[in-house]
Amino acid sequence: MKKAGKGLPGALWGSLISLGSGIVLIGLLIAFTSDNPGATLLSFFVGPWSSPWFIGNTLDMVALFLVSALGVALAFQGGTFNLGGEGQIYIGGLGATVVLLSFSSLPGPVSLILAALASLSLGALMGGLSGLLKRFAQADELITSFLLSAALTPVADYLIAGPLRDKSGSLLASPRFAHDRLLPHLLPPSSLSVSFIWAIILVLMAHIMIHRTESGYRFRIAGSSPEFARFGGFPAPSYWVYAMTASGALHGLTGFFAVAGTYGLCHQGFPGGLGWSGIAVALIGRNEPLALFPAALIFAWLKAGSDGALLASGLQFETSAFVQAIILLLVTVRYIPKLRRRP
Amino acid sequence: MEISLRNVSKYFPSNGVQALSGAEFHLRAGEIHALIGENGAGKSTLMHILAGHLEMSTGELQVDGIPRRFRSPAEALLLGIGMVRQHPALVPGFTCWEDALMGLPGPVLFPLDARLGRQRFQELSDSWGFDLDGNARTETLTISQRQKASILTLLLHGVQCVILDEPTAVLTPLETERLFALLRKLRSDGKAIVLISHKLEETLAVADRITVLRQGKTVATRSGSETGPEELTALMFGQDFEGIKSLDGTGSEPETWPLALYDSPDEPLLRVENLSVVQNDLVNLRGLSFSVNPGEIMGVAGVRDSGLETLELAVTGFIKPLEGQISLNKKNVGGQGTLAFRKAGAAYVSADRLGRALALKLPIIDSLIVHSHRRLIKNRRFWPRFLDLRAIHSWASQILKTSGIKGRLDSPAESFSGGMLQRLILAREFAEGAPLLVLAEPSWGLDASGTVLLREGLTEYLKRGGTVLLFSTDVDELLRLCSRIMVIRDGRNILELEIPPDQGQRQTLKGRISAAMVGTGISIGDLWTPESAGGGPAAATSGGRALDGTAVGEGESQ
Repeated sequence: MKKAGKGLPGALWGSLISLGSGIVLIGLLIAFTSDNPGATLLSFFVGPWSSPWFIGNTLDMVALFLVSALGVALAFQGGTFNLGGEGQIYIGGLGATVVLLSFSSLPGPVSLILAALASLSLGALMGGLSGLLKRFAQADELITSFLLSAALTPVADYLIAGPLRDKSGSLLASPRFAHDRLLPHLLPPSSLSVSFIWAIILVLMAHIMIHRTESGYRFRIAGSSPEFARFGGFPAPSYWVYAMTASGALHGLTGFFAVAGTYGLCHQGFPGGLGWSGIAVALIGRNEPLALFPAALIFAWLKAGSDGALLASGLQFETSAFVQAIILLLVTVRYIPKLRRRP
Repeated sequence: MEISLRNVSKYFPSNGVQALSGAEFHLRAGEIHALIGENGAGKSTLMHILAGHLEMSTGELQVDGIPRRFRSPAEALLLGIGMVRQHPALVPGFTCWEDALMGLPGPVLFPLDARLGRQRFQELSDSWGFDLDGNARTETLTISQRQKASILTLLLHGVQCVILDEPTAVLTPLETERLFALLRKLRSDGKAIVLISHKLEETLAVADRITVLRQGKTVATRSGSETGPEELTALMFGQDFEGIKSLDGTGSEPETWPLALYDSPDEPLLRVENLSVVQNDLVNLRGLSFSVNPGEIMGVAGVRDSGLETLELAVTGFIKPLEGQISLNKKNVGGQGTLAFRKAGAAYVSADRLGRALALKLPIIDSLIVHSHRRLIKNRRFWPRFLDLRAIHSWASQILKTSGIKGRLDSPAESFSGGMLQRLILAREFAEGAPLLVLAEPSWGLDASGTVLLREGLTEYLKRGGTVLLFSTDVDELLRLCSRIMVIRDGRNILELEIPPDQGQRQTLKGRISAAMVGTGISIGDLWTPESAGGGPAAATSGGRALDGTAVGEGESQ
């Protein structure tokens, strides 16, 4: 019983240990597999910050990780587990794509706002459905959210390969969006866009909501101890629905940021594990909104580093995937048992 | 099979409870041995140790003269000792025979021979007259069938010793009779049977020997034919009054406890009329009526499984009554939920403190402001409503201060000790200043300083004109505090007594209340007449007068 009377410092240590051991493993792996370990290590750890272009791309990745991790963290705080982030991002991005490609008479900013709303509501719908199923049918949201996401992914694949595909190109992707329908970029030609600013605003807003408001207080209580919430007069099940809805909405928005900011089009399978990375980031940050900043930064750094090392110095593709898997495994192993203990 | 447990003690470090200290228990083959005692006397703990569910802290266990120590139920089962829990857990989705065969030693990885398994189950069931269908799905069984299925499972494992944990609490009288017939049959087969109970009547009817536990110690072992309900009640509850004094630490304690007002105003604060509750896993309430007047401490006494917990949950809005009215301050709060009950003017300290009254993982401040956060808000007009963090902080610090605990508000609740949390919860509820305070088992797990806090808090609270509704299984505690006591058993109002202010006189009522709680010498059937059921609020408010049936029952028992 008498343990971890420290709160955040304890969380920080846990995260640091898992990240530290991950980095050591990466170093060892590179040292043993690369022909030129020195150069590979350099491109791994310094590469992501070596030029404005790299910095921009890394920060853009940070933005996407932040928003999707915030979605995961909010679900956790509200006592639920959203495993459908990947599909929610995909469908959210797809919805945004449809809006951005149609209504050509609308001015750019308006269609961007509409696209953002479309992605928000599609994600919210998917997450909220799992929440409602949990509340009214006692279905485990972990399974329903994952299955819903897995079921809709092929649908999105089809839409992109079929009706939405740009027939003039050879990619399995939609046409590029018009210039006024892209989020303004901050460090051209890198992919960094205003989504980075939005991500920071969203995380700060979530922090204030959760820690400074009445609803946030109840949200946390309902998530952590449903029986106590009932005792206090705010039954937890409705908060589960809010948690899943908010989580889905944020994932949907991540999809919008990815297509309208990062890529400028919607290609097949564009989330590429973004939803899973969001879970990893949320785990590293212990689901505390403010702690997501360092967590997303470090995770994006590692991901960009392994991608960069892949190109720069012939780190094998499998090694780079392996490295990311190791980090994910290390943070998950530490925290999943705690999460599953909820009633 | 000879089993003896000697000088067993069990300490739970997690909540600091010394459940057993020097308990003795001897069991022979071919006897039904009843283990009785008050709630918290350690009956279940002792038997869980014997069945391998718990490990003893110190002590000795001998089976057929060989010292043993069980680390798991499987080890106990190998030696032929098995336990049937009160709510037996069977595997949902399995059929009876599949469930019973689980864990039987056999060749691993070989396909289960369904025909043979079913046959073995059915033959055994029929030969004992269990009347169980091996193909029935476990979730379709009634609670008495579940018990039978669990007993049969043990028999399939070839046990020689069957422990039953309060099996009759969840059974109807007819089912109880059938169970006892079965137990007698098992006895004649040479099995040793342990029956945990706190119902004296039926214990005496079936047991060959009776061992009484009190406060973790074995008080006496009596032969069933040589003892009577009076002696057993005396042994269970202890008639030496030193026990009460030692609980408080000093001898002169009782006088300093606050006494409630004794004027009887005409309008009760809380009124419960004809309350009936039917709920799974809980004892049902049948037509319960009572009222609580402003300024008094009304006590509700009952053993476990008497409906005490059901009443606590129904009054405080956790469960919805089937029928009946609950009104607080003239507002109807029956079935409206916990918030309606609080808003009508009540604070509540539940018996299940760690689960229901706290969020263990979150910082302690979050648990302390669960009621006050509704008031300490900056803006009411627009959403989101911002909490007034400064006011919240000072409110929570104040609670921490009154409960005399030095700690940080942002430490998680689970880093505080059980006793500290108790004090914090009490302080939180006292701080609400509600007209009615519902206290359930207030002294459970309370340490010495917590007791002081409770006493001071209650004194202060009653001075301001507060009213208390106290649920307790502890007769001494009720007698020390209450101005009126109601006893419930089997979900019914059995006895209602006005308690005199003088502490000496109060003690004379102990025997009567204890007897009503365990139902000595009288059965419910004799007691329950339509007249006493219809007594309703009139009978409840008149106080001081026992319901007719009880008076008769008392006469019979003497």
